[in-house]
Amino acid sequence: MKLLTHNMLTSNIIKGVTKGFPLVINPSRVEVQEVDFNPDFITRVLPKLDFTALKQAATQVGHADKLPEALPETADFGEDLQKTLHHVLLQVEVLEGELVCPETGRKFPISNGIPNMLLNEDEVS
Amino acid sequence: MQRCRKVLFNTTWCRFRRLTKLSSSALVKSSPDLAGEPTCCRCASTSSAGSNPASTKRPAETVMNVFDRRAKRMQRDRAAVAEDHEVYDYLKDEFGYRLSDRLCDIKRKFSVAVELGCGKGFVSRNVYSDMVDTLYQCELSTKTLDLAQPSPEVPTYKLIVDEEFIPFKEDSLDLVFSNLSLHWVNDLPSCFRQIQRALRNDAPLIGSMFGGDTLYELRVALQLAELEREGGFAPHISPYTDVQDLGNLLTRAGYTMLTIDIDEATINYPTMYELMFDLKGMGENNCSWSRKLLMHRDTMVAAAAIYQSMYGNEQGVPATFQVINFIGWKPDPNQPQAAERGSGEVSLKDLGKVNQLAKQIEDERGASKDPQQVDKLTKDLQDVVSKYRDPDLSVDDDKKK
Repeated sequence: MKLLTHNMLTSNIIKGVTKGFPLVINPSRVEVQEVDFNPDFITRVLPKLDFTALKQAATQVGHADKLPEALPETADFGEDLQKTLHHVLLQVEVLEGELVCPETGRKFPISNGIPNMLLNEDEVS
Repeated sequence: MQRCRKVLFNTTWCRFRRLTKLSSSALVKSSPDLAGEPTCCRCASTSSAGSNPASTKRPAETVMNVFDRRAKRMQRDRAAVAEDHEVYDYLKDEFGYRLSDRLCDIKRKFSVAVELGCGKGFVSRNVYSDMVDTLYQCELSTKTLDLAQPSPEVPTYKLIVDEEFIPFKEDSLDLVFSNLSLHWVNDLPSCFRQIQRALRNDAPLIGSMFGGDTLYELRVALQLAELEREGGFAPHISPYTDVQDLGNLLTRAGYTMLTIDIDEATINYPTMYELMFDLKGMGENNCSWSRKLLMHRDTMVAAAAIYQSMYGNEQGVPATFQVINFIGWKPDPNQPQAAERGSGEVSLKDLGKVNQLAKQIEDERGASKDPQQVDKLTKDLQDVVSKYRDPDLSVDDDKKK
């Protein structure tokens, strides 16, 4: 599961959860894979991301070293920042681990890089 | 011949109603109302089906629990693990290709797209980088998702997601499409609402799902056979949504600019058994809570015979798959809205003038060859035409006269 995916997932499908975002990552196996760098994609995708959630997720998987505290105000990001973002968003992959709902603590397992967001019957709202 | 007679409930009036309905129209419309309830009469079900919770009338807004999602997941897993699973892909593959064609019709590049209920990636395999930037494949069954083909050009990520509980946050998706999987969803209104919440403004939901008359031949054959052999019948074909109901559902979930149409595919099989085998191979077996867990041999033989005699053709027996294709957009202030009442400036009565003026010009050219007259008439014609082309340039009627 890439951190780009994690930035879109919420657990508010569970009964009683209001926001459910961002999910906490407990990684057991993280890998870095080479992905072609596409600066246009990064520039396009950036405004749609929740940066605090991304920073928190990157810290939880241990790849937050080069990420700034906040995005620079200007829309023009330097190449360094773009490369860091590319690395964090697309190259870091959580292969085994869990996603934890921040409100209920319910764990969604990640196996083989695929998060399992299915709910049990008692959690259904 | 020993007929196995189950304990008959007092089925007289409803059975007769069902029978007359069957004989008059030859297709029992079990298209449900908004809540998606199957219209099988409660007292007509056999005793082995037990109490049929899904057949009591419920108000439209109640959450229906018709399908056992866990069973559907297991059935899909089983279908995916089979050695010859690719043999059964033909139907979904074809409609997946058609859906991807519809995606191409929208002249826009979508940033984040989600394929809901992707199966083996039937639409994803036809999605290219000029259509979508990022693609998420969501499927209920793990083993089917393992087999899902990613898009050849677009980075594709897989998620295990139940269509009824969409885990994407609000305003995060630019496109959601679903190919032939929403007919197993219990609470379709809630599903559509969740998708609508996850979509950005002015983002579409494009989908295809099995509709009204799908597999009506099989349904009728099984019903008649069971009625004859067992004295009652239980639903074997799941209830489908009608076109009008789907339109209502989408509107109530908050979609605008709906376009809904129906595609029909009739596939011929040698006998009913091949059809049923293929349905199982596709993972489309029955998973409603009220399904009968066994079917008697004589019922099946009788059903096959009825199917052949009622619907058979030279190639065997036909099976109809009606697929409803729909597209709905999340509202956005920038979308074209209907014009205000009373804002029209051009009358349709003037439309006749176009033909009349054109004819006059021809006559003038032929007869007097007076250039001034011809010019005047040509100008009049252009005025009328331009008025229709651009309503803001409305020409004063007095000047024209």
